[in-house]
Amino acid sequence: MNRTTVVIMVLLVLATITLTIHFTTTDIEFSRHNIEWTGTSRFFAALESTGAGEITSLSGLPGHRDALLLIIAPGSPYTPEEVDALRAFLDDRNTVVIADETGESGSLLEGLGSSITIVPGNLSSIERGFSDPRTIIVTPLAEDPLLSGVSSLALNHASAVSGGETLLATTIFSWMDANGNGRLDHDEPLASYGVFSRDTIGNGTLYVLSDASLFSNGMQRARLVGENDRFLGNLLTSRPTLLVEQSRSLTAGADGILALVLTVKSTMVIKILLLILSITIVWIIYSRRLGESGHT
Amino acid sequence: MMRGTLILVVLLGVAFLALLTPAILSPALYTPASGSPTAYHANPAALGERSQERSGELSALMQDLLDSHQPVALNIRIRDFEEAERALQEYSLQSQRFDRLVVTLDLSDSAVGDFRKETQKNRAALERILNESVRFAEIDQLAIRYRDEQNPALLYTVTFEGEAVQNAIDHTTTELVNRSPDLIAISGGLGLDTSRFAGTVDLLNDIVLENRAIQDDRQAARPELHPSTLTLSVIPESGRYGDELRITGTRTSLPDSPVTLVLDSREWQTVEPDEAGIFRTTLPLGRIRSGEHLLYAAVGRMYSGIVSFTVQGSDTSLILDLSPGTRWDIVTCTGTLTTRGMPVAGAPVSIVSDGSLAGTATTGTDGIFTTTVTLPAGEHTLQAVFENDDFPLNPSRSSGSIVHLSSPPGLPTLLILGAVIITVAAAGAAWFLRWFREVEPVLSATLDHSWSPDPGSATPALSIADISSRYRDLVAAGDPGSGARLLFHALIDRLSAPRKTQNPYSLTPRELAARDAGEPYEAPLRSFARGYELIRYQGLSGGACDHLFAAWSEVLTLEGGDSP
Repeated sequence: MNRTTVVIMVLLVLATITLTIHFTTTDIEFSRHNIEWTGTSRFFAALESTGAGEITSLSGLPGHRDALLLIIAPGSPYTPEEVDALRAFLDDRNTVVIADETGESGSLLEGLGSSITIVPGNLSSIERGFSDPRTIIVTPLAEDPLLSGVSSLALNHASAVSGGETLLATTIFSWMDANGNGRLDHDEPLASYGVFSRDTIGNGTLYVLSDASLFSNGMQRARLVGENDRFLGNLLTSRPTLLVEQSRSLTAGADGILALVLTVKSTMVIKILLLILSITIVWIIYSRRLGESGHT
Repeated sequence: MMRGTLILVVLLGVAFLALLTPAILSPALYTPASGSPTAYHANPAALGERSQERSGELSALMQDLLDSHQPVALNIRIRDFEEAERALQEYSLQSQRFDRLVVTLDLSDSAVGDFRKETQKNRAALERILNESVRFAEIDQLAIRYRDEQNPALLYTVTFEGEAVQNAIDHTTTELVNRSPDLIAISGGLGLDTSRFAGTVDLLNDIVLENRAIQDDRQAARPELHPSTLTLSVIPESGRYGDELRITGTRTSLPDSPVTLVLDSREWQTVEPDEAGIFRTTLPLGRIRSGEHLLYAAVGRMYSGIVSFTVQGSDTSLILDLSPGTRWDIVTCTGTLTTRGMPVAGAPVSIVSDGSLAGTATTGTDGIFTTTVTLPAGEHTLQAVFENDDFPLNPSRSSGSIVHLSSPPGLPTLLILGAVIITVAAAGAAWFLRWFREVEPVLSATLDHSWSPDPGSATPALSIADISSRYRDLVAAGDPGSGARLLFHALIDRLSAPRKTQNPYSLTPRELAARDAGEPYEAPLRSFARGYELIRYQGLSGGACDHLFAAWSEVLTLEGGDSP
């Protein structure tokens, strides 16, 4: 093997690594495949280590008991069938935690018969984790297993929730920055806003958190004032079975070749076909070589 | 094999270029700041890690401020005015701390800002109630005194004044009480306990009722004045700052004596009636509190009836301009205080920086004030504030002016700068010494050390005889000093050449003598030096000149055989 061949081989290896990284990551907000600060790859790495199950279709929700289903940043409205499936899941003594700041889960909450609603807006406070008034710090108002050992949480551009039993809220010195100018104006009243509420649906419990950024890599890498890690730990360990919704959640987001790769990985028929194709190619190449060596 | 690999590399290159195309078409350097925020969140890495947890502090301070009304009112009620003053000072301090916090947290445009304004109004109201209550108590003492002195006119006056003071307390308290629902609503909305404040409002109402009862008793005991031959009138009966009230009166059937005018129980002016017994004067409304005032005239123990007039409050306007001071941390504040288009003279104006008092000034006759304030580095919001009950003028504030101050280089920077300068200087000196050491031998070798008379010397081209002749001429002309100098230079020209002296003209005769000690001409040279000093510095002439010339000649003779 001469020097040129070695150089080419090294280049090929480097190119392969680069392509692999490129094709297995994305910059979609909240995507579990996004390794940047807007992604949730870190949280999903922790989630996978707990053996959490992925729910790609709510209609096929298993009848778990004492399971916790995480719905992080829903990206589209849920169909009535999906709502029915979730209601049945809740009625089966399970727990659902929805983290949504856009209000996309509004129809779901309404369909479930919950009193909780998400109030999208620029929730701001003088109690903040960073220089941005929208990086609010919230504190517990009531006890809950999910808030065990949590004295405060740092959120990032959260919305507010109303209804249900408020578990986490901002201080009274908070406001909805209606004009988005980053400061308090006279027509923006000061008030305490709820950001995490609990509601009982059937035999189950529904939690709604008005900030999905809590799960982002950026927030997990940052040095925060609140006990965010403890809260996420509670989510992962509070129930024997942990499930994560991957049908409408932005965390499942993938585009381009990554989407293709993921489709291949998740579809058994395509996997089998690719396996057969690979074996066929190898067999053809091997047969040719055998034929060439026989001629010589 | 090689060809296939090369094709693969080319294909990979094309693939990479295709992937990079979007970035090539819209090139942009990525930074955390440029990548933040998105529609959902801001990048914590791009935000300053400046957490701010001051809700607790703000809440506690607001509660303290709200509760601070009570001790002031309580002490006014029990007439412990010193303690009430202390409680009011404590209130003011808390108010200042609160002001600073509100400015720091940028909460001026909010319910917190409204709370601040309401408590500021209440502080001013409590101060007025306290001052009027002190006056009300003084009137009690005066009434006792005038009753003992059997002075019905003054007793009559203080009764009237007591009514005016009681009305003022009543008015201020009513204003505070009427505002209290707003403050209670704001405070309740911010989660504060308003029970103590509500109790204070009741307490103030009680004070008004108690004062009313005292004043009613005073009125009942008021003496009746007999009609006198003194009359008094004030026209118009009310006015504002800058107006002038005309005071006119008559004095009939009384001895020819001046009339004393008493304003608010204090002697104000003495006027002389004319031949018809009429007296006139004017009262310019300047530094006088707003409200009702009482005036009467007196001549001896005869009194006019009491007339009252009202001074109404006017709104003021305050403008503030900032300019750099004489130092980086000094800001010159200039402004104007006006009311109804007129300048306000002699009024105190406070300069408030970020909610804290930074300086004071007094307006001139043109309403203009100027002062300087010293501030630390950074951005500051400055405001001029006028608030003084001695004037019939409502409080006002200028709009906030922002000033940025940058500190000069600190001590470390100066030390570094100094070290740099010293290092450069030391390096320059080292270079020069090194260069000099290198070139010195060359210079020594090339320079001719045989000294020749300086072209500026007086003697380079002169012979000994010429010098002698010129010396005699100078002595004869009455200038032996120049002559002595001529001789001395001639000696230098002739004695210094072989000695390689760099600058022999810098030597004095005494130094020359010391240098040439041991030479054959040592003794006459010393004699020359002494003579030179006598002539040059003591102004001797005559024999001293001859003696000097003799010594000079001897030196030349012994040195090289020259002789004049």
